[in-house]
Amino acid sequence: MALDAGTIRWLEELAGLELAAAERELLARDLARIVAFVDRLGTGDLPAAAAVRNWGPAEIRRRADEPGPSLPAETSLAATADRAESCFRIPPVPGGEEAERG
Amino acid sequence: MAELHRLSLREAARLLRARKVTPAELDGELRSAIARHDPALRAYVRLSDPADEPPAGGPPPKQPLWGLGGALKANICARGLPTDCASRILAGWQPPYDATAVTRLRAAGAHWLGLTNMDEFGMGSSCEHSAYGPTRNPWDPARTPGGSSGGAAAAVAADLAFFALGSDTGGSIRQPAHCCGVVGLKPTYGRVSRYGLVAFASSLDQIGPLAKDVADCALVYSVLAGCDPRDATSLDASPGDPLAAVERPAAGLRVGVPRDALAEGVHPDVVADFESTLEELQEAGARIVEVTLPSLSRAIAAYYVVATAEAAANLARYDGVRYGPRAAGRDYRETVTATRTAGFGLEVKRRILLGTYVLSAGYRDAYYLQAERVRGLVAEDFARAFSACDAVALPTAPAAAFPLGERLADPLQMYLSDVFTVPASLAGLPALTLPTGLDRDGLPLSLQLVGPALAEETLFTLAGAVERARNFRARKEAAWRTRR
Repeated sequence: MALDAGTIRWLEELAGLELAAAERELLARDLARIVAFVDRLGTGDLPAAAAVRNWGPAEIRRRADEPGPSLPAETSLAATADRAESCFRIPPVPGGEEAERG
Repeated sequence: MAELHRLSLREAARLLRARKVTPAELDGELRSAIARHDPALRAYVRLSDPADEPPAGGPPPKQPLWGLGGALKANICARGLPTDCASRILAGWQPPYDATAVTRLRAAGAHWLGLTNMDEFGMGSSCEHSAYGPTRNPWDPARTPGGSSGGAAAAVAADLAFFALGSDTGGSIRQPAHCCGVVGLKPTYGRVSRYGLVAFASSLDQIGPLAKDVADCALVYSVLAGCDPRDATSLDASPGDPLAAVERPAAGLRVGVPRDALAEGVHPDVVADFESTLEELQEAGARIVEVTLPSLSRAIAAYYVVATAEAAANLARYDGVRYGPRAAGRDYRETVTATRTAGFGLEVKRRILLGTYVLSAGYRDAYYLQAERVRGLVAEDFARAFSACDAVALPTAPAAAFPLGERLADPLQMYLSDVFTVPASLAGLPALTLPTGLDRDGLPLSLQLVGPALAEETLFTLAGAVERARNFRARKEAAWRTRR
């Protein structure tokens, strides 16, 4: 897939972004160069033969999860732009509950 | 007595313990220096209120950092300070808890002078991708301080903090340390808790210290390191005695040099400084051995795939619901898109799109899995090298600090600034940068030492030997005396 404006639009959709036309043109050009550079990952003799290997200190992988209490709701909600009682309030979701009721 | 803010961390600590100065006097001196010099540098984006963040009081206890003021990168959570990662999308966000690193340093007696500038969410190598505008390099205000912890490095270099905490994903502590002539350590992945560090690329991110000299760096690291049940990737391993390690002789240690990595694109001043530093390490009793790191040439490409893929996932949480301001939209999707479009800067958008691309259907195998394979090979290269040496020496960057604006229009060129720092990040290894000399324009140059996992003590021993031989502090004082 070429990194043309259409591809950038598709990536914007996936990433929850909407670029201005000039920004889209600029990023399409930049990303095409960057992707051409990272394409070197697929060159030469290594990739087909190499397996995905562990890379970090071995001790990390032996750790079990240690669940702890989460933050109180009041604390978590302190920074939200909108809330309803002890919940985050989000804008209407198309096709969601309100739309069904409507 | 020398100007108090110009003292090293340990020199200031000695004066405090001897009761020749009080924490309040020291704090006042630092804040006064910040007021005089920071408007031109812009290392800080927010100063703490001394009433909320007072220096320690009472008689001097045994806490190692008692009464000493540090600077905190704006992506490390500290209650009372708005941790906005230099991004509009987190404008005004107040973290409801302290990062474990912050807690540990507070418990050791330190306090925070303020938050330092950075590339937005850690994405950059020049501190220019910040919602606050760029920080300037204290050695030459027309140049960048490096990034992404550029504000932290500039604050320490300009004597506006006794130490700073930064974060390093692909070189974000080491490259600014190089640009600003200070010491910076990226610890082994898992050595320092990431709890409270705003995530950029979770398998790479590490918090680490920036300091005026090697022993100061060792002192802050000794407080930072330790197991944290709040971070599932935290290691249960003793850091040993890093301060004692600085004083140990380097005799007998083997330093591996991958000369093929220096073949192209490295400034001759960097090569000359690197070679003369190695000669001095040899005179200190270390043995220089040749090693090869064949996968190094692919490391940058692998890094920018892995890091952007993780960033695209991590930054998906910024949807205008849980944090920061929310832009208006008719429905949920429109609101999320409007919030993210207005909130993220251009470089963050570029990396989110790249990360989304390399993870998208049909491309994941070609890019992401391929990059993970290269990551494994980089780790194997280092493991092979460490069978013949105790640490690998590399430059930190191909050249000294570059002019502001020079690479903004060429992101690929900016990414290549990280060519020598990303390999240790991909392999999760500890790496330390210390200043070693000056280039022809009088800008700092440095050496980077990479060790096996958990071998920070070895790095401190070698760095201590280099520092004693090079005496960078005297060079800096001589260079800066003519500028004042």
